[in-house]
Amino acid sequence: MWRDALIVFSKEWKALADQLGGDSRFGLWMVGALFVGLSTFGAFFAGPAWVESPVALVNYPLLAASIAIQPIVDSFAGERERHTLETLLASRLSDRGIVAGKIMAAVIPAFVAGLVLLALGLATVNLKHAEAGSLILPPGSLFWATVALIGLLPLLVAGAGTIVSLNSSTVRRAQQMLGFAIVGVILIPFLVVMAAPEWIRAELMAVATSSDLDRLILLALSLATLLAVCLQVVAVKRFRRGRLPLD
Amino acid sequence: MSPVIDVHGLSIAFGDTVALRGLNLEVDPGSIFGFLGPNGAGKTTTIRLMLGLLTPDAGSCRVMGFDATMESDRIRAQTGALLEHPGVYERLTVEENLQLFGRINRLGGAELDGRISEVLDRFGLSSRRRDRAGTLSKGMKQKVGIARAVLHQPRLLVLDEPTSGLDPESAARVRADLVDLAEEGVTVFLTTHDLDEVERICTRVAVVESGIIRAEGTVRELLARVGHRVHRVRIADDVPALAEALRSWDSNTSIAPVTGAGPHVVVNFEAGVHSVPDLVAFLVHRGARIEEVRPVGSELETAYLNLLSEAEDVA
Repeated sequence: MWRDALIVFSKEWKALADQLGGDSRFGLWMVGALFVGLSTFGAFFAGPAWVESPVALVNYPLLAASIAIQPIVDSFAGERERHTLETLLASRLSDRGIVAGKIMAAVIPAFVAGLVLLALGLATVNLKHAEAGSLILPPGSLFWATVALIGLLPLLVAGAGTIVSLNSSTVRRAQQMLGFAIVGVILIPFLVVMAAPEWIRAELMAVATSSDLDRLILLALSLATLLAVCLQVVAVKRFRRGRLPLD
Repeated sequence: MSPVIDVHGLSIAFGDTVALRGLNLEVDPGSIFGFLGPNGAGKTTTIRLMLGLLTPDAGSCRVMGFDATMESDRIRAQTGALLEHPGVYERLTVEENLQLFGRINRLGGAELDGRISEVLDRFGLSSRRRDRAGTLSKGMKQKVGIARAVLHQPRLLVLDEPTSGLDPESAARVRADLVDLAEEGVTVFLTTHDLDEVERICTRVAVVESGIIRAEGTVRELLARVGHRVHRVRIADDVPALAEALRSWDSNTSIAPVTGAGPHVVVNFEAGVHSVPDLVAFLVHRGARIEEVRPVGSELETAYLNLLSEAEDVA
């Protein structure tokens, strides 16, 4: 399976590399510049508070997740649109290899880009605000949680994106569906919390505002991991070669 | 010798549209099997079922001894396919496309490089090997698709209209290659609308229409069954009362003046009760001066059209 996944990943990577140097390079580099701006702007102005706040640092996993969106919606819907999906499915690649390769192609670049953006943010804070001989760094647990989320959030988006892309006739349709799904993921927990009994809301608020940062981090990581795993399992289950729309 | 493709009672519907209605098919090893039929007859659906890209509602499909639903991965491992679209990755070069599918098929290193050079030479693509596939013409993409299908030397080649979009020279080359491959023991299953191609290279033929096999056999068997070929006879003068005499002699015969060519007439004749020599003798006896007797279209084309017309009548 992993051999097949690496083959699919390298194919996607070559196509992306070609895009970076091809006709659409200007747009892609502009998006890159925007991401660099977003990752350094807050750090530049907020100073040390930027790296000590979980709310500020969560930007980096979100940026990484948004990088994963385009490749994952394109994964199957794009192949379908370009009439290459049938040929890919008619090859000896294993089902899991194809799905894993497509997910890797979305998650790995997003993870690497997320780390680079985090490094840029930290560098900006230190260059602008650090005193000589000292470094401004996030608390250890917060730093590692941010790194973990930079991997987990793109994985979560990739799982949802695969499920959407598998059955979308066009990339545009897949983008719309994933957009709705993301809004739903954000909106539904909010509505659930709002509708929950008073004592549950009070408990949740106590956790959220507690000084026990590690507990909060553990909760966020557990939730993200659980969701990411569930979505990967569903994506693999939904990939049924004999049932996929080909046209 | 057990058939390479063995299909029994294969049926599938997409919503209210029934694509295949109990299709039966057997393809012998090393043969070139022509699968003919009008658009929407069920050819592409059959290919997709054979490769496990669709799941049938009923019936069985075994390819190289493997069940197409349960063991399709083993079928795909030994099959080269060129489907409805060439399926080339336009952002990759011709060579990268072949490298990708070579690696998918467990080729690598010098063996893969050697095979790539070989198929590029074979299909006249060597000079374009470093070009992005997106810059190629439709015909060239088709060639890349065929090169990709034969790259790993599969036991079975499934080709959906392989010569469509190719120039005559390339099409002839591909046909010659298919014959060579069949001689090497590769089974070729091809769909095409080029009946001349079928007549030249196919060892067996099946005609599918509305999801049912209407006829199956060698080209010769098919012609014997429904191949009443139309001949056109050109006569120098308009013989008086010839039209009426012809109609009473054989109702499958029609006569029409040749427009803008003086007093010439043309007799369209379909062999049935009478043969072409019978017609010539009849015309000569009536005083007609025959200039030309010529078959119209290919013999298989006539048989094919007759079959479809029979099917329409039944429907």
